[in-house]
Amino acid sequence: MKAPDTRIAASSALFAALGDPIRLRIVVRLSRGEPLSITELASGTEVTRQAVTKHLHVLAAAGVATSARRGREERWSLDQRQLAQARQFLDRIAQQWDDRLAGLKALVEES
Amino acid sequence: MSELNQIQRSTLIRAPRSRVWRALTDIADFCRWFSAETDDPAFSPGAHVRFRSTYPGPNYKMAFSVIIEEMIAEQKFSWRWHPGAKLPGEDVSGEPMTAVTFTLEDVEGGTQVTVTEIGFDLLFAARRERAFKDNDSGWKAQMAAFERYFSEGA
Repeated sequence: MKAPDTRIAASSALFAALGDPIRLRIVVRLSRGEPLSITELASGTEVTRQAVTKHLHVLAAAGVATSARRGREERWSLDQRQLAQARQFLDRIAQQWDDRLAGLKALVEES
Repeated sequence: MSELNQIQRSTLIRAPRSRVWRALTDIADFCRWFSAETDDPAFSPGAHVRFRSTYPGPNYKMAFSVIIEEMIAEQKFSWRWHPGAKLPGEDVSGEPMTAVTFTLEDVEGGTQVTVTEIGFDLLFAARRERAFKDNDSGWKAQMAAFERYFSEGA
């Protein structure tokens, strides 16, 4: 578990990284699941490949996007930490159920 | 991603099913183990029951409610709700609800109680969609969603 102040710092970086319409558009396209090249991300937009590259590196630094080389081409996708956040949410809910079932057991067995 | 869709937890309680059923569905007993208070008199299928959390911590007195689905005596008790903590004034009424089901089974030594909560995939999909909407309200919703993730376990 990260300390709370680290988590707040991480979330601030995330907000800053997403606080730009072009970066948000990149995230929306990557959120469909298929890894995309910089050329694919730039196509159909007025944004240059250089600019897309720069934005992807901001997203990578914030833990939002990640790249993998496939052949000669680099392909980008959303970072699995997004998924980890959902898992953390479920872990907390599961922990609450454990606490509540323990409470139910105690109430029944001690009365 | 199906493993992100459900939570299941189970415990053995050393008591007969009838006693466990009463603790589960008698609203006064329920409030004791669930750490909640209510002005509503009883659970019944279809009822919308409102509570305030009495769990110590930042969510003390947080309002929440459940919509009772099934009550099959000594076997099954289920409801739908919006899980987790929410910020004061935050409106989650448009989000998909999850479904919580308790089942009771006779086992050696007592009663096995299993709770299953499903529907998180729809909830996450809705939150993602809301968060990534490329406009101002989407941005605010995203802030709220992240705030919620970070405040929940505290």
